[in-house]
Amino acid sequence: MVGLKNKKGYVYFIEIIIIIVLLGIIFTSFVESEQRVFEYKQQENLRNTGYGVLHNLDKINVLGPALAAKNFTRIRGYIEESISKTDGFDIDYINATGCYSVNATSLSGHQTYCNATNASTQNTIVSTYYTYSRNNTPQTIRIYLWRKL
Amino acid sequence: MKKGQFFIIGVILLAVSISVLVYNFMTVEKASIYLFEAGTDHDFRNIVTSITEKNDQIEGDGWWNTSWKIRKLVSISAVAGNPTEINLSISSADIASCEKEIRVINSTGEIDSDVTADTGCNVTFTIATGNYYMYYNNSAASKPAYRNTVSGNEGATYSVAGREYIGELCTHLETIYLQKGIYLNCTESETGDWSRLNYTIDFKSKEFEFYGYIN
Repeated sequence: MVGLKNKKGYVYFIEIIIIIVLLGIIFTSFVESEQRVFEYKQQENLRNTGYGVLHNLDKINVLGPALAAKNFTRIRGYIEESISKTDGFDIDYINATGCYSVNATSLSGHQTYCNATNASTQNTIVSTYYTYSRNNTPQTIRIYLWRKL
Repeated sequence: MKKGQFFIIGVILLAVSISVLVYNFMTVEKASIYLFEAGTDHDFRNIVTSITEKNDQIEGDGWWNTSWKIRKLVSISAVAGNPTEINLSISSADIASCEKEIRVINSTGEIDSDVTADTGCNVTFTIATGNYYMYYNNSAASKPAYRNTVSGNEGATYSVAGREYIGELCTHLETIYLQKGIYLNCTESETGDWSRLNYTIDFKSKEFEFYGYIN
């Protein structure tokens, strides 16, 4: 009788452990999943913001003339005013001759592949293109965004 | 049934439950990622917007015929005798045959014109003060019936603007999306009325595929 009682207690103990482990797995997975969804939502919001800012610059007739004049100071200024202070950004400029990182006032060295200088040091970034096709030759701005906080 | 068997069945059921739960969570997580990592729609939107804006520009600028991909504006301010020879300084990379490809267009449409030679592309025609567009870069064009090889008066006062080219968008889009790991095959063709360009787009990304025409 004593042996059977001990065995029953052992089975209950195992069952409780399994239930705790199971609940732990479910809870952890749920929290992790929610966190990932939240992060992806944030990233998608950033991407939306980037595309929207450039699209709006085009619609208010700033982007085309600024690109034609290679006036990147103006473009950067508008972007800076348009995005949240808690977000960072950088831009690349792509035309028929290649891809260029855009520093504060000018184009830096030509690159085969785009890689904005400041963006390359961030952990999580999103990027989106905006192509302006109304000038004689098409030009594209690739905007990189990240959260500073 | 013995008690030990209940225990084994219980353990098996638990294992199955855990597997189902883990599978479900993995699926949910993956679905969430695909749901919110929808950067592709911006990429495709960018393609559609740039194409439609390019076509709006072509149409708005009154491009005479989209089979001719390049044009130059010639503004004549003084006439010194007709017919007049105009030096267009066309790059040999942009034209295969001056006799076949050059077309002169004014506000009323195409006007008769000659060329001084099949290469070099000086154009001779009867001018008045005003603007003329010189269209070229169409290797499929035939030599027009009015075309002769003659020279003209070189004394006119005129300016030739830089070339306007409508054929670079496909190459540009293919280049930028290649850098983003997105497959894009873009080809241009003429629409029925030659006022806009048809773009055949074959677009493949992780989440989205499209094959069709945009204009």
